[in-house]
Amino acid sequence: MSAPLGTTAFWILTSLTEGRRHGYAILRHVDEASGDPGSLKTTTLYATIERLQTRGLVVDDGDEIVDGRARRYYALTDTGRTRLEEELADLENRASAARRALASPHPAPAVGVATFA
Amino acid sequence: MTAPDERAFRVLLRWYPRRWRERNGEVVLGTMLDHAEARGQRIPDASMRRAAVVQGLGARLDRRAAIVAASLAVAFGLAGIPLVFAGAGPIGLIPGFGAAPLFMLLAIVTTLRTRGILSAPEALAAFALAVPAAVLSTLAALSWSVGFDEGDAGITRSWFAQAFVWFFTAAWLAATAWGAVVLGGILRALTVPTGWARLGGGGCTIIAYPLLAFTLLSPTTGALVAVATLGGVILLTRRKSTAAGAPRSAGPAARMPRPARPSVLACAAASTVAGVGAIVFALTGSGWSGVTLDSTEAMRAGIVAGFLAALPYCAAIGLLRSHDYRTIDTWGPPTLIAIALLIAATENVIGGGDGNRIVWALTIAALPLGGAVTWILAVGRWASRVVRTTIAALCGASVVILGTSIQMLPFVLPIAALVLAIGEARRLTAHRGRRTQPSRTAAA
Repeated sequence: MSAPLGTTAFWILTSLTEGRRHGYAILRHVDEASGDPGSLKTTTLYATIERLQTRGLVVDDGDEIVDGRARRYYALTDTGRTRLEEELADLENRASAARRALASPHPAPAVGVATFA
Repeated sequence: MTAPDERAFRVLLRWYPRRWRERNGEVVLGTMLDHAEARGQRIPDASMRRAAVVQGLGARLDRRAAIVAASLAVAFGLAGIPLVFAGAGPIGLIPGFGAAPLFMLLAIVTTLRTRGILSAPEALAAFALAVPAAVLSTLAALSWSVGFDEGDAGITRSWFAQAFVWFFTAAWLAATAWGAVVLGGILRALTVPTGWARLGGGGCTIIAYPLLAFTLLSPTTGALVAVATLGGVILLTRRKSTAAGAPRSAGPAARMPRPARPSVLACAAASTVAGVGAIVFALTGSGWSGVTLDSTEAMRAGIVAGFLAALPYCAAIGLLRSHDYRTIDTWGPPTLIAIALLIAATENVIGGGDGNRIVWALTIAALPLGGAVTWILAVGRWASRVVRTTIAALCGASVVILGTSIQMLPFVLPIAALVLAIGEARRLTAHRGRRTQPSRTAAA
């Protein structure tokens, strides 16, 4: 088991599972998928992508200029896909353990002042 | 729709280093402008500016910064040795006990940042904590030294000497906070949950700080640790080949990773076992039944055995290098290391414990060892030729200056051999796993 990915890295890898994307497309996808638009800053996005590149999970996949603005595409590596699958399996294990715990009938803890006969 | 003010966004990139801007600046700016346009934002808001400051400063903590910081630690560590031995007084403690540890802490933080183990905010926090930890530690060392001198002179202790406990406690606290961030980051990378990792990192530092503080009180040990830090920084920040990170659609890797070798494992394991045996004999041999040596003679015999036990480790180094270097560069450095070990072992056998003689002999042994270190660093492919030649020469000279420390090698090399043996065993296991995987799939 590897170290946890962290929320931003998790969403970036998820975004790249559907194919190569440029930075702004990843940002939009993360905004929509995470349900927290605007929370991910552009500078944090690129810092996280660099970290994922260092770990061999993501690679550059070409640059282009669109409407005078530079765009760089990123792609998921085999290692990145495997790592995301591991993270998902871990999250699912944790979620099912929590569901089982919640479903089992436990008496509510007593609240209040104890009385003595 | 409000058009974003490009200049206002471009200003944010100034927090990043120039080389980073040249490589990524236009791409990041394009994304910022796309994002701002979609949100109807004309200028960056406060949170964007904060993120740019933190990430930009974090990007400055790169490989070059790590090597510069570690090299400064070595330079100050070496400069501290003659100052202390020449009796330069408390002020002479500052290079070796203040500046060198500070740059070592900064080099460690920058290396972990470069490796992606610490995030930018964590690295900046660790940077900020390293300064008070090092400054307060220096004040504690100075206060101790002044108090000692005042005690010797029989005069009343000054307020500065009396403040030792306060300086030491404050330094201990700052170092613990640094450890919670830095060691906590390492533990988290080893899959320990974040909260426990922070507690563990802080806890380890609470215990380790006083031990390290007193160990590093020897200027030679401090300089040796600085040289080891520089070596670690160079190794840990090496740029990896793209093989592991090849895109899903990419063709064959440009450079094949080094194959696992049972012979490396065998040599490293042999050195570990023999080296540990030598240490045990050095420390306890005089008490063994049937052994007629006193504790000094047993220590010397154990040290000789330890030097000889390290010879298979030299062979392992050669085998490791054979994948990447031509024959002369593969076997030249391990041969020089082996010569150094044999000179040191011979002196321990025939020297008879003469203090002056052994200093000279170990300094002579340090010459081939320094040559090996210089050779290994100079022919590597980890920086430009000028940078690596300079650092190689600096490290080689450091090894020669610290020549008498060679006597400690029998106690250190078994640990290095053990680390190599474990790494090679894991590599072999992974290699066998990869080889058996396709047949399992086929069987299924």
